[in-house]
Amino acid sequence: MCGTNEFLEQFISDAEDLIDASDEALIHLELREGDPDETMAGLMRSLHTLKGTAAFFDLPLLSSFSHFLEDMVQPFREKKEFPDSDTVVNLFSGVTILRQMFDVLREGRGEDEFEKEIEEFKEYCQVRKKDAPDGSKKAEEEREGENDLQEKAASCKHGSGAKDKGPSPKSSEEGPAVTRESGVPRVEGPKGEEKQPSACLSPPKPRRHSPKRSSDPFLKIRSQKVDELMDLVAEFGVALAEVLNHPELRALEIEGLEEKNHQVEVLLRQLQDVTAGLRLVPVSTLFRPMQRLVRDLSRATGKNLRLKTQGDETELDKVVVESLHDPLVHMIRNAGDHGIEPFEERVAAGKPGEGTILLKASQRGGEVVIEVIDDGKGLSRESILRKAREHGLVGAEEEPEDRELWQYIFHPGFSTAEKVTSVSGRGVGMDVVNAAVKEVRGRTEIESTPGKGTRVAICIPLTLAFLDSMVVEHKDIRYAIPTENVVEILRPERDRMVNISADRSETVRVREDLIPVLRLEQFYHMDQIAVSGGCPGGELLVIVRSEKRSVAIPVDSILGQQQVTIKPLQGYAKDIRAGAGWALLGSGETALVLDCMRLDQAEA
Amino acid sequence: MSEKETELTQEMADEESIENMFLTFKVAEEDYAVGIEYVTEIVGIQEFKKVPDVPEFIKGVINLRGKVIPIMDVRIRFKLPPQDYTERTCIIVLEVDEVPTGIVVDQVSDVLEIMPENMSPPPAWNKNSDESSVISGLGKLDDLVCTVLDVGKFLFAEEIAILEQDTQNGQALDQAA
Repeated sequence: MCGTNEFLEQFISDAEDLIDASDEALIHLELREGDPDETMAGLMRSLHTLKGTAAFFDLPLLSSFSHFLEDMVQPFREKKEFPDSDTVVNLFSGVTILRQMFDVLREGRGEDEFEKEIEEFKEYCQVRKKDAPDGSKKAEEEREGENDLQEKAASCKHGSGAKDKGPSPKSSEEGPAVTRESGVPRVEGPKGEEKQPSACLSPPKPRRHSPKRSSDPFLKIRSQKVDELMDLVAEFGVALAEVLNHPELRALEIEGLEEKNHQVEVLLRQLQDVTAGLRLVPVSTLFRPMQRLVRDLSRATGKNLRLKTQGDETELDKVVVESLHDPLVHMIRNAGDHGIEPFEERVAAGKPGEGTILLKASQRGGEVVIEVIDDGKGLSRESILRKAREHGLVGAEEEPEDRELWQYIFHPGFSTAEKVTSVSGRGVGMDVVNAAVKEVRGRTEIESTPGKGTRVAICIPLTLAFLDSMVVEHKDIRYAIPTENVVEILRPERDRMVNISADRSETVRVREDLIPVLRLEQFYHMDQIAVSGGCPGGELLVIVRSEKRSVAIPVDSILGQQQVTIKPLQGYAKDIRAGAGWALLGSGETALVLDCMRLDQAEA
Repeated sequence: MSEKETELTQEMADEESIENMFLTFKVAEEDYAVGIEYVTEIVGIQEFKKVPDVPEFIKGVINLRGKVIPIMDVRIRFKLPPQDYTERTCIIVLEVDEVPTGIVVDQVSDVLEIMPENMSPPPAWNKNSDESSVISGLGKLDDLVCTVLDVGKFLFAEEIAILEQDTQNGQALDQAA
């Protein structure tokens, strides 16, 4: 399957970041900096993601090894204390092995050649565990002296034994360089004499600088750079328009200028399209690899699972799509592993034997919504409540509402799975979802019906995308109304307007419907004067679809329909009610994008 | 006109020790200073687009190279009488936590170094000078005293009613110097 290669390459490219993040976390743990719990949560998230994705690409060794490393961190995570230095050193070596495995994978070779090395590593770590009884950790800090050095020396001996395979660093001069390269700042130490042991402990020279690297078809670019490019292109367009339309230049009537101008405009439009295209991709790129995941999940769990997708063509910012991959993997795993019941149970409950997971994307107002809907047994209120109480999230007497309770499954370390399986159940999964969704300023929604299934939705604001909108002006303020929300535009006769002084409201009659009128100046309290007696009539009304009903918005003028760039509301603009962002018009001017869904909410 | 000033701040920002550097500006004849590290650029006054649902002192937004930046009129923020914009009126773009806000000031004066030893704490006689004060100190220079603003609070603190009092005090001290 040629598609898989592409995804494998993507995975390898992503894995590098995860491994870098793990190294960074380990550095913090080694230096005993920051919050141990948070750092370990991050480390376990990285390892968990590696494990999950490796399993998905059928790399059992890589998957089980990540799982093993995760297990090493787990006991300390539970105690919320920094792991002892031996464990950290071992984890460093482990992470380096992971990195080497990816280097080998990138070269197109299999993971098998690491079998022996991993076995030795595991054996070594297990021996270590037995040697160092639990109680020794408390005394750890005091005995950073001789003992420690001895232990290091001992481990060093083994360390070099385990690394026989690679081109091992023989001399201590070579040591520090290698150490640094693998991200282990092991030069510090109580007596300043640790150079040698740490050099021994450090893994074989990583095979990082293979020439293959440059042929990586994915060019990872900081999204900030693309933002800068887009800003520049937008500004360039405005400046260019000013030059091209400069009245004095126009007056010159230079031969061929008109033609050249046109050419420049065409090129500019292409430039804008290409720049925009850098960011937007259909969600199908996100959905496609999930088919395979569900197939494998089917085999691993022995359940009959089927994945359906909807709205594949919905476009999303590339950066968002990338960051949603891991959360989606976890959500689908959860649905398949915990949500959907075994075949017999389903049949007994009168459901089809085959469980369905629906992956759905859609645009809803100012948001793109990605949903994972399963037809399984639903969330168990009882066990989540029990678990939430165990974690002290909910008081013994409290009975939170379902919606509130479900949110706890996103809490770090929260898992109701009875046992830890290779698929899920460590309580790291949903934590990953939450972290990634927050990263793109999104939010999550959960609905669950016992016996019917669960719906987990990720709602991501549209702030990064483009929008087709109707630009209007009212009382000197410019607004952009998303075109998809516009039902119709009309200029009703005065007798169509119904003024209700009793509650200071207005209604307009459009054919058989009565539509409430929402005046923006009142909505934003800019106009202290209430509806004065009769309605003026003859006003321009834009009828928009809101959450529950349509509303009619009077506007002074309509400037036209155009595709606008959306910019986030920041600073003082952040709290503008029913604001979805700023629209940058083609002219470089700005308008407030109205989130029509929230117009109605605020009014009700 | 503002290009030179933009260059100037850019130059200062490039230097390594921007720690004690401040951009000074005038509002109603009073001298104020902000840490240079917050200043991203200085632009001439330009047309604002009015926006709804923001405090009165937010005059609107401008589009600066694709960034939509809310503009605060410092005179209104400090409850001073408004004044027509002149050719010296400038917008200083300040950035706190990557959120840009532009402030309209009467004129930009200088980029100065104020060493910590020349910095006095905010006037202690002000009974309201709790953590909500938008003043981080008074900078003493050869010929003037300028009020150093705590940029984060100056921009975003909700209640700055005490400010009127503070600025008067600052001015009194200024004149005394």
